[in-house]
Amino acid sequence: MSETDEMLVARVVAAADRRAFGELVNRHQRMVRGMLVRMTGRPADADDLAQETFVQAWKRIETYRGQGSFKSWLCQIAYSRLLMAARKEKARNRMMDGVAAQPQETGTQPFQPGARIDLDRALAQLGDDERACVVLCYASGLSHSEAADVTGLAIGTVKSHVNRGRVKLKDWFDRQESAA
Amino acid sequence: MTDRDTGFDAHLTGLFEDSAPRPDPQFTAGVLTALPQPAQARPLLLALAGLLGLAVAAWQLPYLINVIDALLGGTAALALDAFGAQALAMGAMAAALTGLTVFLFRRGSLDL
Repeated sequence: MSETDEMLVARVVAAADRRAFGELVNRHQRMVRGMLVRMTGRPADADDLAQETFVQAWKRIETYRGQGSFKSWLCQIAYSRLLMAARKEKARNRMMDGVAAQPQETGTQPFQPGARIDLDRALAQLGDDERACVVLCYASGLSHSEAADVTGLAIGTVKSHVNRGRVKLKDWFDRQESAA
Repeated sequence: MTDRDTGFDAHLTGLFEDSAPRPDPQFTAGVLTALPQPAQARPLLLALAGLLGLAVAAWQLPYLINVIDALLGGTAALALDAFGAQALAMGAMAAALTGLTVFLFRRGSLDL
């Protein structure tokens, strides 16, 4: 039987067990990288932030008390790293404005509805907080309450961001469908 | 929530799922490489401090045994005669070093 996240965390805390931490990285890297790539719109920057997130998690592992899910705790670190990066002016230009503009396309790739580029274009229609809440709830699978903990927003605000973001995305996809 | 809404939710979740990066073993390896290494100087300093303490203790051991001997009425002197002060000091040092090794191993500073 595979160990739970909490059991692996206990091994990391007790004996600085790198193998146990590696297993945690294997389990959650897709979720963390996926969340960051949708929020930044740039896979390379997202992977750098994801790596920083896991290194930070290693350093602060004692602060995880098991009150919420480990996934939610990781998202909190990832979101905080994202905000720190965004606060730096250069990083802000590279990342947040990159999302607000258009995601990069290669000339050889045909436009595919439902593909990654399509989703990134749709997400670019949302405000920063709306995008963060939608990504946390739909991509990372967090509850509204967990997303509120991660972003520091009130749960009611998270719910309305998710609803508004969802409506905007639906409108965008409907428009794309009728234009096709 | 209508069926259409539920359908869109499922569609959106599916889009996020499909567009998430694939698990990458190299990413995990990169993270593990980037983790801070256990401090090398700290275990060394601890070991040196322990050895210094043991040397002082070994130097003082005959005097301690004399005190214990006086309290126990000759038993400690018998042990001192049987094994010798140096052998007793070596035994104490070996026990302390074993304890230090176990401590460092359990906290992950020592990889055997």
